[in-house]
Amino acid sequence: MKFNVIYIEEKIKDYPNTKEILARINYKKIIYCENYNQVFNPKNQNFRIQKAEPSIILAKKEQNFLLNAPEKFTIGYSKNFYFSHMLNCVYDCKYCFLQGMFNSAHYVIFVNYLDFFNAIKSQVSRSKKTICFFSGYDCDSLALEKITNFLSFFLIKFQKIKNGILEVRTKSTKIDIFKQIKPMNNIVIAFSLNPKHIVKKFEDKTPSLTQRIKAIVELQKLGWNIGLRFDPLIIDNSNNFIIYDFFKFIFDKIETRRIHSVTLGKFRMPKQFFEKFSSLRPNEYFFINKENEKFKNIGIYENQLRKFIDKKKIFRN
Amino acid sequence: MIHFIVATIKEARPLIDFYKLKKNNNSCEFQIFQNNNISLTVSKIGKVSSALSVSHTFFELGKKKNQIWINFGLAGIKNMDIGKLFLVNKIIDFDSSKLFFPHIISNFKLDHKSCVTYSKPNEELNNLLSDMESSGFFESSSKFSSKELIHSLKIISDNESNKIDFNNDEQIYKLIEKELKNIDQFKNEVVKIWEEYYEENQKLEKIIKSLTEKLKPTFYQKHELSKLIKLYYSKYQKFDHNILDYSKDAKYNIKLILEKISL
Repeated sequence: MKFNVIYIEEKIKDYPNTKEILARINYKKIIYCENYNQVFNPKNQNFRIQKAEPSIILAKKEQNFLLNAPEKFTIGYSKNFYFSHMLNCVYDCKYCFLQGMFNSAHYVIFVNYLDFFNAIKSQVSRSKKTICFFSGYDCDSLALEKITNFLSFFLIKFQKIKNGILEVRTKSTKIDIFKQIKPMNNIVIAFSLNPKHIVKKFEDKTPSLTQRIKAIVELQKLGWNIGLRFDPLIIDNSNNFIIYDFFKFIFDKIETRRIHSVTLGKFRMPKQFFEKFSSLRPNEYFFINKENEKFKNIGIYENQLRKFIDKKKIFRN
Repeated sequence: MIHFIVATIKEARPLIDFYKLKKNNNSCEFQIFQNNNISLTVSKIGKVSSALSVSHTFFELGKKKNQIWINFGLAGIKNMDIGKLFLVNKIIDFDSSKLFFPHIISNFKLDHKSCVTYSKPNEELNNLLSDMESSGFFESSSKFSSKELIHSLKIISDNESNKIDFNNDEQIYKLIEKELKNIDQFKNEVVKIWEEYYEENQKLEKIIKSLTEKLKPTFYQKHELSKLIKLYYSKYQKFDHNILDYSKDAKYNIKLILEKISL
């Protein structure tokens, strides 16, 4: 990937990880800032224009390394946190909430990975219960791995976390990192999936459904735990038969026994994000409005899923 | 529309001639020159003047949001040749230490540099551009437009060993004249962005304005109408006025649009 401009916070310009990341990027110019917010947060920015040619911003996360996951959000554990070593995503899904949440489409990479890990270590040390940590909510955890090396650093560290589960949420099929290390029981590689025609129509720049299934099969053979995320499941013009066929297409190819969890959820976006989203993508706003109407009965799809996998592994969000 | 903000008439003259701009006699506080697509406002020197001139231009020329704003002028730098044109990629306000970051894309072929805006002429040049307008210009135009459409262009007028004669109009004219093609090319690249992301929006704003004048909606209805017309437009790629009944009120017509877009 080529980048025209890389923004770097002055205070981290000499961090080893900053230098390592820079060495992996093809860029033309570095511009220094005091705080990434100066570039990322001003209101008068156009997400769509920036998405056409985003820059990278290297920054230091100062606080709030872990955030409480929404109450109902779980894959079977009672305590759940999420964190983001990166803001924004290389993909361009038309329904993505990030475009409603952020003013800028630049990729922010927080280079102080160890601070995230220390926050997790501290959290698990205070708990007797297993805690689940979700990575990849404000980004795709895997898609920029070649630049960030975040998982290379993090997975090895996470081996020591005995009462913690790490979910790595992704649409990426760049699974090299998982081929380089031994499978770990406390890692769930969770793939976001939608029917083929939805991927084509709404998930710009992402790997196809078939490529994702291929990656899942390969990871399962290596021994990794897999999560399936139909969340959001986008229905579009699909009838119930199409969704059933979509589930069948997946479960015919993968090993159900080695599926850690399946989540099912409809499209949702906080109201203030939705307002912004409607002006950035009026076409999709129109579609999403209709989509939510159709999704009144999510139970139908859950019943379909139960034909393929144990209901205890299915979680509705 | 493209709005140029230039501190002095000496710096403005080559652009006025190049774009064949005519003086707008309605504007008293600031001199404005314009044609159908381009305006140029002579702001006078200083960041406050520059900020005020942006605001004045915005209100004088139709209060249209998300237009292109380009600050152009001369600047000093220690180690660069006189006459070289730069695009500003970072603006540092010397007094307040505020930073601004224009959006730079690879299609902009100009070399770019950071610029420090001073309140007084900076006699001790360094490796960054020195000017007296950029921060005021950028902060003010940010109120009226998206960051991607706001830029500063600077031509080097003085370095550590030389400086032009600021009283010599002809010398300034020739210095700027050499770079007019590059300035114009840059402007065209920004126009391309505007056309791709804002042109259609402007058409829609016109439709919404004409409808609100005819239907006299309440504040809330105006908001609804605006949203629904955008949706209608995105579905049909045009707006057909025949779907409305102008003899009825806004509430009735909102229902009509809703039916048409089947929400």
